[in-house]
Amino acid sequence: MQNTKKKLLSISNLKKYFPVAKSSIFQRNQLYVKANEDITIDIYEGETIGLVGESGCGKSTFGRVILQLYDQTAGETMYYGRTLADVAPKYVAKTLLLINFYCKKYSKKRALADKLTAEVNNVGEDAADFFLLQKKNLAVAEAQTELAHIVKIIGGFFAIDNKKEGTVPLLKIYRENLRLVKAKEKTEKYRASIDFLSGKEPKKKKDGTVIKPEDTKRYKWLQESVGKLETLQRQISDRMANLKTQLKAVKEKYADNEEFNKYEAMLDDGIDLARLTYSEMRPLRRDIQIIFQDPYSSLNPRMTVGQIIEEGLTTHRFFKHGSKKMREYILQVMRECGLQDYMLHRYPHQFSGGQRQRICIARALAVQPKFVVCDECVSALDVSIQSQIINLLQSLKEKDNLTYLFISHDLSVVKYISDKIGVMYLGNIVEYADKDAIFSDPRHPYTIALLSSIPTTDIDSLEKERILLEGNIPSPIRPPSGCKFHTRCYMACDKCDRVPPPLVEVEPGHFVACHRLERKIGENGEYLFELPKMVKKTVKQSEIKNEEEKED
Amino acid sequence: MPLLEVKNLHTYFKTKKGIVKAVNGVSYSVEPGKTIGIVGESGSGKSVSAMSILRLLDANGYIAEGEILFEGKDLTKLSINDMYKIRGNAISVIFQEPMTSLNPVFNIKRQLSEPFMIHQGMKKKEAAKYAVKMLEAVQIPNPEAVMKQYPHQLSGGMRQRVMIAMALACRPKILIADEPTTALDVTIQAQILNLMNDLQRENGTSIIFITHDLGVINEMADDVVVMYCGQVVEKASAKTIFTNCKRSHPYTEGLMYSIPKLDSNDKLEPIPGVVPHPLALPKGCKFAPRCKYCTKRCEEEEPELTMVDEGQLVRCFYPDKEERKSAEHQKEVIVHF
Repeated sequence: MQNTKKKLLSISNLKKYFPVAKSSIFQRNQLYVKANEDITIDIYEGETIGLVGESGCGKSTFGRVILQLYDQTAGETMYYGRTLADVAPKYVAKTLLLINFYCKKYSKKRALADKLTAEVNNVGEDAADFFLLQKKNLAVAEAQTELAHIVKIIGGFFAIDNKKEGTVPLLKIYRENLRLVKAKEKTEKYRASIDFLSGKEPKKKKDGTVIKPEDTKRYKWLQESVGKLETLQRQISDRMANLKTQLKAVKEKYADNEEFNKYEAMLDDGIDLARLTYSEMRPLRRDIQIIFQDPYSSLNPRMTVGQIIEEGLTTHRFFKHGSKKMREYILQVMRECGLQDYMLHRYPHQFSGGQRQRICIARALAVQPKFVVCDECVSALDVSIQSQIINLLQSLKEKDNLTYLFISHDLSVVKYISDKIGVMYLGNIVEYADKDAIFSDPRHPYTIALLSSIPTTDIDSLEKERILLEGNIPSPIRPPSGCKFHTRCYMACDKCDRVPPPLVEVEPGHFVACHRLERKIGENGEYLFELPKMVKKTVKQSEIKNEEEKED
Repeated sequence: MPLLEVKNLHTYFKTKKGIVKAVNGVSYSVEPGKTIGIVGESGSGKSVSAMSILRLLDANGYIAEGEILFEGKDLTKLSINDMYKIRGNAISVIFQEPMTSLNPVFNIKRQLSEPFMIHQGMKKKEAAKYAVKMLEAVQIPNPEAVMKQYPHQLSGGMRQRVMIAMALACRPKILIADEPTTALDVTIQAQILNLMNDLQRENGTSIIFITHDLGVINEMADDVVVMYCGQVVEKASAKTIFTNCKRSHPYTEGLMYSIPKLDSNDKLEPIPGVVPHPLALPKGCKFAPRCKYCTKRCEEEEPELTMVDEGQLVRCFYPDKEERKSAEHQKEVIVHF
């Protein structure tokens, strides 16, 4: 199933640290809030990924890092919705030109990482100083990221001493590609102008002659230019194909080289969002959108609904500002999101919470994105409105084959909307699986506790035992050593507080980060382990039963 | 004999645009040792009806009509000094947001000793001793250290525990819990609900539990009051509402279908439309514009709260689920959406 779907985003070893302000000028070591730690996740087209966790576990941060609203500390966020050939970002040229510089930088970082790792190994992981460990982890992650940066662009040539052999043809291809991209952009711009002109009313002169828009000088010039650009594009494509066959020939020389093949496999045609410049990221924002949590503070109070939706459309040059098509398109989007036509000129304060959230959704979906991050987008709404919005999101998804990252703390909502669910705890994904697997066969103790603590409207559920976690989430500045959950875990062993568990695949597509991977829930929903602290939900159910017995 | 009886309560707010009837003829009673749950959407008047009991209303709000009988006294007619003696003593409140309802400039010790000093006339030191005991009762680890801390140093769950400790300090007969767990995470919510259940069993306190979360109501409440637009639309025991009962109000039924359930994958059936504006309420049944069983009669007349079953009151002309779904009824239905 999975392999037939197209990969849209691939996030690997993502880290996001927020530096904490130093408390005194003599403080030598920097402290960080470790919001995201080593998150690796693949998102396929048309899927909805649900992300649950308590507040402060870093789920919102993760959503924003994907959109590059925060800079990531380490790791890669690869986006496959467009290929490198479509965008031609500057970082590719930079890497190819300055390949020696980058390689030196990498070897320096690798040396530092190795040195710190050796230092830690000397003292032993348990005894190592907190700051030393932190330094080591950061250095290792940075070295890894640096390597990925180089290899993803030059591939197998990284293993060869004479890197120029690969970078020179690659750079040539890149430059041709850049020309192609620019030519394409220009053609599109001209085409849009042609469309705009032909939509205009014919002008009447004083002497009675009518000038159709097709007859104007500008119109003719535009059409001519478009024709020229198209031939140019064809030429460039031919040249590129030529260069590519040349490159292939060079690569064949090294077909037997094992090292070469190893790195060649890491070659990637996705776009590393983290390395894009601000202006390069702008056009990509069209593909990845966000719906914020609070519809009251995420809409500009001084803009009407029409202006709010139009802003994105003009930025991404869908239609000209003020054109008829623009207006029609806005109204169409509004109708799809359940807003009436007459609301076009209203201001956000004239709407209720649910309607505002609809405006936010319309704004996000107007630019036809491929990927939408829904950051707690139904949490602030009333129950009856919440279900309206969930159904709306669901139907829009089916219509446009959208991909959602649905962030919420409400497991029942996440279950309803998602295909896959990731459970986060203190910056890590502790369990990631299909939604059915998470609910029928949860493996991580945190997931089990989370599931058992949701209040449901099912009266039979009152009889079920619930697991109460003790205490609060620990601080993400100095998270517990080993498994981060061990301080609240009811089945922790002494291994847990020393060794951080890796995320392993226990069943196809079911990943868990825990040392105790055995099945924990039986076929009939009973717990297969000794309950940590047996607490009856309420005495209510038993009371009701007693009464019934008495009546009988 | 009920401990507290709210009879035909009307609470209005004066605004520039007219009088907002936030609570419009609400009656319910609280039995000793039981929990009554009030559910409704925002703006349905659930909080205002409970705050009217302690007369904790904004300056422009007033109780226009009705009685609130507590141990034979009518709370609406008591002087403000007599109210001070009841607030926090016999009836106390846990507010929704623990951050804004604790005073940020005083430490926990001072805030938590206050009820003991005011209502029981204790000295500072003695009150502090009892305050520590209260913190222990709400399962706060290391209570002596917490006593010296300020609200901003505590987490959300801890603050809510302090609020509960404060509310329970004088062993009140009635505890009004106004969305006490809405701002908290599920695991912390489970802790707090469990704590409230335990404390209720120990002290025999009655709880008025206000929330919009039906799941929480199912877990906590013995009786449920469903409110819509300032009116009670359904009143029944939790057992009746959450099992598949024969009769119910269309609004309650809609609420049940509009929350995603963990154990089924049924499609959600949301209630269409929004809550009407309090200054432009519909003429007939308040729920008629959003109701899928609405008929001409619903739009013209207002139904009364009538007993449909033992202990179940519903404000609807067609309380029977089977009957209103039948083809005969469908003929009369006015379709709004």
